[in-house]
Amino acid sequence: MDKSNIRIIGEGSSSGGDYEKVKVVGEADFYGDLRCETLKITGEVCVQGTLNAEEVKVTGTLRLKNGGPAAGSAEPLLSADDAAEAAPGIRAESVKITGELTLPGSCEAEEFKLRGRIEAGGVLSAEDINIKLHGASRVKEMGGTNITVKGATSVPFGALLQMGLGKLQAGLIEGDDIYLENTEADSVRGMRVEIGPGCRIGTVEYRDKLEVDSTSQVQSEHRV
Amino acid sequence: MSEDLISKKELLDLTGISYGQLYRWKRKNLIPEDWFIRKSSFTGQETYFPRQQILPRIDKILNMKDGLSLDELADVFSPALGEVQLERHELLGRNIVSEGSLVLYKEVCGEPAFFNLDQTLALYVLDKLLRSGEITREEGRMLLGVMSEHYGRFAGKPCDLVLLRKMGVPVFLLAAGGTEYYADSEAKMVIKKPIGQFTEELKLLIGK
Repeated sequence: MDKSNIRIIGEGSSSGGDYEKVKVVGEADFYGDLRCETLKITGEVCVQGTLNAEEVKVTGTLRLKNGGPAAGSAEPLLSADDAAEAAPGIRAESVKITGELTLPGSCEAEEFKLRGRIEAGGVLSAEDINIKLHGASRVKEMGGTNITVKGATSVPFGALLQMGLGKLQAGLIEGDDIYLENTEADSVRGMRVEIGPGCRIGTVEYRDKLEVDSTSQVQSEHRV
Repeated sequence: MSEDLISKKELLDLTGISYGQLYRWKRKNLIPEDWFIRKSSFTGQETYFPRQQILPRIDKILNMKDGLSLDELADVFSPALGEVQLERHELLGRNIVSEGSLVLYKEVCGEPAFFNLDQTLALYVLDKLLRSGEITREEGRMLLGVMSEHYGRFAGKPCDLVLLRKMGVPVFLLAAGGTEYYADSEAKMVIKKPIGQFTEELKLLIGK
């Protein structure tokens, strides 16, 4: 049987499930896991569960959260680490977001592009990660082949207006080629690492090359 | 630090693979989630792997990766069996199992028109253990009984095949992967092998 499409324009909700194309223009809630070929959102979507898709494209906000029992029920408490493993996450081929992404779990994709802010309780793993920061972002761990994080301003004098904004906070960043701006991280490990302006990094471990911008701080660096 | 764990850094040094590859393989399920063991160390979070499992796995991925796509590889490593139907002459012709094991199989389970993957797996395990001389024909019968009756219960989850002998009396067990079990001192553990090892070999044989 062919899978059906969903199209929500305006305000609506769905129980989730298995679909071909899902398109939202406006505001929608999915009360369960969502699987689809393509998910296109213009507006605001909340998924109470995991998201599995080939292609995810968002202009606006995408939020994943734990579904299931309502707050206050006797759910066994997991430790923070376990919770992140089991928490709702995204699995996709390509994720492109202009806006905001919030998820308690991990996001795995081949291509991940974000212009805006992200808050992820788990691992952000992708072949190519490309983030342009607008607003305060937080990711527990990032891993991939090419990782680029840029403070978002190509507008002249934009930096003056955006002071204190557009920061990324991360526990661990691991990749082959890494370029970071405006990032605070406990540790960064990579083959070729370039720390651009506005970063505060605890430890950098690198193999081939490390460059650090004069406006950034690195507490300790090791060549391994 | 336990002897059996290898840190991510050490692993990359040893095998020459990159962070990108490791994350890619994890995304493609070539390396199971539960092999990533996180511990805090003085430099922050560090990830460790079970050495005995990760090294052969990486070796296999590197050696096979030219012939197969990553998704095909993921199927090979997945403990779940896919849909395959093989006839008797195919099993023999492709040297998957020997005549002797087929005869024994027929005695215990009858002879189906074709073998599905679960049946083929039972046959393959039987054949391997008989050939290596680890079990006798009589034990082979028990093995087939255990495999055909209980293997389906694991529904693709990893499990171990265990053979205990005490005073010459054999007992077969199928136990969920990663469980610990202890027997009394007179019982001897003759075989303890993950079934996943057999499924991987079998899938490669069938895939040829």
